[in-house]
Amino acid sequence: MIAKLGIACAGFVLLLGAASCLSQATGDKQEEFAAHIQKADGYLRDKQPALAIPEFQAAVAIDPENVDAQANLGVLLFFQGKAADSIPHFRAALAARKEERQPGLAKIQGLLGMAESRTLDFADARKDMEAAFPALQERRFQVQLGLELVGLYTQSGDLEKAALVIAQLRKADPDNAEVLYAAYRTYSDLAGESMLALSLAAPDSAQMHQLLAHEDTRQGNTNGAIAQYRKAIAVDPHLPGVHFELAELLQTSTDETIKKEAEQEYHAALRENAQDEKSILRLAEIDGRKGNIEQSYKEYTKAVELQPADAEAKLGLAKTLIEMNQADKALPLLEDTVQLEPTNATAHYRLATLYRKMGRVDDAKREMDFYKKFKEMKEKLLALYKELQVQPKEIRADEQDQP
Amino acid sequence: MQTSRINPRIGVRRIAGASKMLTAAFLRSCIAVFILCMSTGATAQMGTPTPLPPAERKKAEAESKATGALANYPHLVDITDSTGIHFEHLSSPAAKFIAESMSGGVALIDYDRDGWPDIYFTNAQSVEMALHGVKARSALFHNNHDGTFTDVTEKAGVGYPCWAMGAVVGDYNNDGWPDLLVTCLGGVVLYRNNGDGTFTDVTKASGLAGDSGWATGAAFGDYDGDGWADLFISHYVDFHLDNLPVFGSGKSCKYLGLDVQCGPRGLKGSPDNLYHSNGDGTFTDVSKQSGVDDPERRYGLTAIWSDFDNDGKLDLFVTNDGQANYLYQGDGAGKFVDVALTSGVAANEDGFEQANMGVALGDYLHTGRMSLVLSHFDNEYAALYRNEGGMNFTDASIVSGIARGTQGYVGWGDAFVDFANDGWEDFFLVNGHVYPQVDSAHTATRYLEPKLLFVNQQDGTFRNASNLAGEAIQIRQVSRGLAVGDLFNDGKMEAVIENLVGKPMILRPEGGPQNHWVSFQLEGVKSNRLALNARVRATAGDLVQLGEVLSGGSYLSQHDLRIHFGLGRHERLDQAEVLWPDGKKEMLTNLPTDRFYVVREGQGVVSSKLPEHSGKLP
Repeated sequence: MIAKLGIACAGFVLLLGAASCLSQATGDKQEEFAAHIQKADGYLRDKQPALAIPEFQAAVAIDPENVDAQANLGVLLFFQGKAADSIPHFRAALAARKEERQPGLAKIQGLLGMAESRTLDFADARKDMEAAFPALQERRFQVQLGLELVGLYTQSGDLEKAALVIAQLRKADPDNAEVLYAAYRTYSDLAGESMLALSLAAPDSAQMHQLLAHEDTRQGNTNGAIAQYRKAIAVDPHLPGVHFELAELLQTSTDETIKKEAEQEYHAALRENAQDEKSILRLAEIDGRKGNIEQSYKEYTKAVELQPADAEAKLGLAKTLIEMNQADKALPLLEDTVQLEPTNATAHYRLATLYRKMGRVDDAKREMDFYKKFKEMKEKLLALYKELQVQPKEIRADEQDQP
Repeated sequence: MQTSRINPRIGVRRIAGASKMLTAAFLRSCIAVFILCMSTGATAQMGTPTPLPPAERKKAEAESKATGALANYPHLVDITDSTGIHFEHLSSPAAKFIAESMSGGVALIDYDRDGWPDIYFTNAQSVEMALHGVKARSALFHNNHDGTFTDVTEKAGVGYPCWAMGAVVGDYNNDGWPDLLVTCLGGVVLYRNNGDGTFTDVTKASGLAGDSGWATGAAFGDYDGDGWADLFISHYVDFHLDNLPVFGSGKSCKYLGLDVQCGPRGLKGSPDNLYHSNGDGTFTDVSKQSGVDDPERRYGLTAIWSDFDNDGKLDLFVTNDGQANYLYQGDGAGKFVDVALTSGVAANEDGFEQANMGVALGDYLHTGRMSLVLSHFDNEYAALYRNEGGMNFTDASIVSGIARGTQGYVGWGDAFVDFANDGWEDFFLVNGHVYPQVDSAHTATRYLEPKLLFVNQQDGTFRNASNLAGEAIQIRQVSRGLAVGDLFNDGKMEAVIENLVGKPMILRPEGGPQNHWVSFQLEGVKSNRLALNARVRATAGDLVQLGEVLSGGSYLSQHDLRIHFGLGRHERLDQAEVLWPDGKKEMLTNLPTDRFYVVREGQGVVSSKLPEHSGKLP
């Protein structure tokens, strides 16, 4: 997983380019050194980096300990595709630095790591990238370097460390597609690794069946998943979460008999854990659909007590109260719901409706705007998912369907 | 399509930063849908599944099992055979294309102005027939005043307008003779009533030939008060016979795992049009400048004009199939703003857009405001939007009892109608599935469906009396259009139902209480001649009702233009206040009941007739 380096050398060179004053030479040599640097600067201003390289080379020949000249030369060589040639200059620059954490040199160390990676010196690459990554200030380079580091970790099977870097990258740039894909891959790889480990360690365990059920669910094989959950329960009926997970699948059926089974599994989940809020919530929904409004109300109330941060429970209770003509009690619950789950379009719509009836026009408008925004967002995502499940042949057929 | 939730233990991490609003729960629900679709092969249908909420299922079950007779309520009897009407709507057994499922509007039109409603049935061929040049014959039946009708299609010249969808009535040239507009797969056809029993196709001459999309709903209404009826036409899907969607292909062509016709989802929609009358028998397209051009190309079906906020300016309501409805608030000068969302009629109470098809409009609660009932797909329920005033509606589907009886059926034509003449409008709905293939699915859903009747309990609720008003409405058919009116001028409201498959059904209320009634035919003078959107507020003791002359509505259909009020035991009408479209009011007082009144603008009652009883009436 080697990310392409989408950054230009200019940013690196310009940060350091003006610095010719640190020359260690004296007399004529100093003048000669300054002349080379001046020429190099001129070429860089004229966007002719290739011509600047020999000037920097001449300069470092006069003063090998000049940090800026070495760094600039390394940068120029690196971006000319001469990674191997850039490495000694990066190293020289870093060796000559006066402070361990000299600003700007974290970038140089990062580039050094990248250059080492390109020359297949993965051990040094990893060491330099690890050192540079936490000190980087510029988001764009941090993301690029982080992704390269994730690639190195993945290559060596060190997925836990990759996941740690991913977490930082997501914090730094949450909407970056490359980062999100890397996250997906890393977590998938971690899941695959865990599955392999579990299948080797306890192939007949209840947990293994539970895991396989998850895999079947992910692949859309609901019947297979149900069968795996049943096997898991046969091995260990007290396996945490297994009854609830099975019930969740069963309740998606249109068959009333299977729906009844789902209800039984929710009850089984509650026998294992009387405080299982999610199971209580589902039973509230089921009782609601059956018309057992009082029971439904009690269960929603219990769910909200157990988990006050569950937006789904609060919305369910609010809707039940509206049906019981207790809109005044529903209002604060809906207000909580949109705080807890700001993207819930239905909650915004319900809230807008209540505000409208109360004459709170501005509040109603605000909530309606949120409703529209999140409804549209969700529809886009659903359309995307629908696209994802269509095979190429079917996509072609759909395209033909368009008059 | 079922709703489901993902197993929370699968876990989706909360996203930070700019995506903070995109919470885990949001993703969870989206992914749940994804997984469900992957696992069941479920695909998009029209509308959004709407689970019936608490308490309603039990009541629905009880009501569906209720049998016997409803006290003080007439039976609805099938009199089709005795009317002499012989008409069959053409159909394709497999209905492989959406255009083969949507036709069937029916219009009541007193084309010869003899005071007796005549009936026009639209017809449509199948795709295969069309490709072989076979045309479908629509038909006009003249009312013989004796309970029978005579086919006058050929003489009238209205047999082959097009691939017909529906029909509405208006007087486009203000000559007092009701004209007929037929909506088609490919534009509209405007028939001018020549006043001699014949019609002339004036589509081109009137300037409507440019309307070439799949026209569905239409409604005449004088939105700018110039005394000439303007015309709104909604359009559905961009559908062409030379580029047909492939049956069963793609994800929007599946239902319950079966291959079915494609659409409307997955197909392009078609924009709507508003035509302003130039006052000389021609129209100008003002869709864009008026703000009703439907730039999003929603799947438009039925349209209806009314003054929903009682501000004296006409508004326009348009149902959109599987998408948000439009409620255009008019300024009386030709500009409209869509206020459907903020008014609460764009979607259901949870904000889900539904498969909106037919429209019933009426003041069922005697509030002086027009409420709406929209018919929907089988995984939803008919939605009653109670008008609270000030362009504010409440989704009262559940509390009214309409929801629980209508879920499970695909509803089309619907109407508020007072079959019992007790002064409180009931709700009547005709049904029939879209896909013939549903019969092979292992579910309770069937292609043929019964009609549904909900009796007004006079307290904002309705009682499902579908099993209590005779056997005829329990007969399963594939119904589409519905028009109600007093066919036999005897004070009883009949229902004319056009079926997609086979012959129509005409239902007549028989038995029940001998309640009083009154009927008004309004004639505009300064206002448009048919007095479209004129209203009558009728007061008999404590009974205060509101009626309106409406063009269009139901499902692509046309009700009787006369305003009918049941009056219960009241023997006189204390007063009838006529609100003309130009804002003027006319008060009529102390009117005897059980009569047909003709009221001309500015002249009061110009004719009053008793029913013409005939022993031959059905």
